[in-house]
Amino acid sequence: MPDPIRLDEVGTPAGLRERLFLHETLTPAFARYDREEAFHVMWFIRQVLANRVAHPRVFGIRGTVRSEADLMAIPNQFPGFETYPRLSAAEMTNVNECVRLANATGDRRQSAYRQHVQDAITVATAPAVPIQYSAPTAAAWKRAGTPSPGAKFTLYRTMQGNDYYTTPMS
Amino acid sequence: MSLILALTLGVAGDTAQWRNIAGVGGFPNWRGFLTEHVRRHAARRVNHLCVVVRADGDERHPDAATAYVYWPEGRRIEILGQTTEPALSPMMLMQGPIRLDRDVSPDDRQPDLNPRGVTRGWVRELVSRCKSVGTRLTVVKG
Repeated sequence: MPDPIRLDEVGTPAGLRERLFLHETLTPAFARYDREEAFHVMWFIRQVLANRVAHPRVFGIRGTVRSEADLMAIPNQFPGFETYPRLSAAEMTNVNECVRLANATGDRRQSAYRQHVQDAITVATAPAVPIQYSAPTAAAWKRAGTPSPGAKFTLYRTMQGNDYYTTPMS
Repeated sequence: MSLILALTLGVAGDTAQWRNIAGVGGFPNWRGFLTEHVRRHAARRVNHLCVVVRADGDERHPDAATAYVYWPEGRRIEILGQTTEPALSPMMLMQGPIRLDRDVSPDDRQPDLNPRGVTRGWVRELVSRCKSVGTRLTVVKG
């Protein structure tokens, strides 16, 4: 029996990323779930976080942003995470369910969920972004079929039902 | 010429993408699931939902579609994904709803970094499509 898989503590940088990735990425329960695409999405979101911390003015963010945790408090950028590090159980339903199923020995879904949660941990804790997932100007994502973030944003790819956008960082 | 015509027609060219949920797979017992979901979370006794599906497949997933559930009394649009499971679950409510009082901007002139952000025009279009090809569902609580 494999060891239980756990996310990092909610208040740590890795714990924040892991929960955000699992919150924003389709789970294996979805018909259009595709492990490789979901993995790519997580890398993209990681780069969005880094770019918003490094270039807050590009995103119209006023004030000081020292960390990814500081981004969460900005209204209407990361729905469900505004009260981070306090996260409501209702908002975290999918995240908690993913971890539960990843540890559900005997459940036919366990293997897929274990891989999904492990992917989130891998992307959150890796020292650098692999070249094949590199998107240096990663900027935003929106539900496919909804309006773009704005005129300065360029569609990068549509993956897992979301549109992913880049924007110049200067 | 055709480009000009398409631009003039705007979203009218999008007509073929909108479907009634009854003809789309991947939403088993959607009516029962939504009824239970609304009864659990509704603040009002009577709730008038409208459900419409948008075909949004891509190269890797050509048959993919998403259901949009306009729920005015709940001040939200729920987004429901297709599942391979025998039943829908709350996990299929994708990444949280579009909240009508927080996620809707008057226009697209300002950059919108909210992944759930839409415009009033987009909501109007969705409601219009729902009225023409969608399914209405009234859920009474208690």
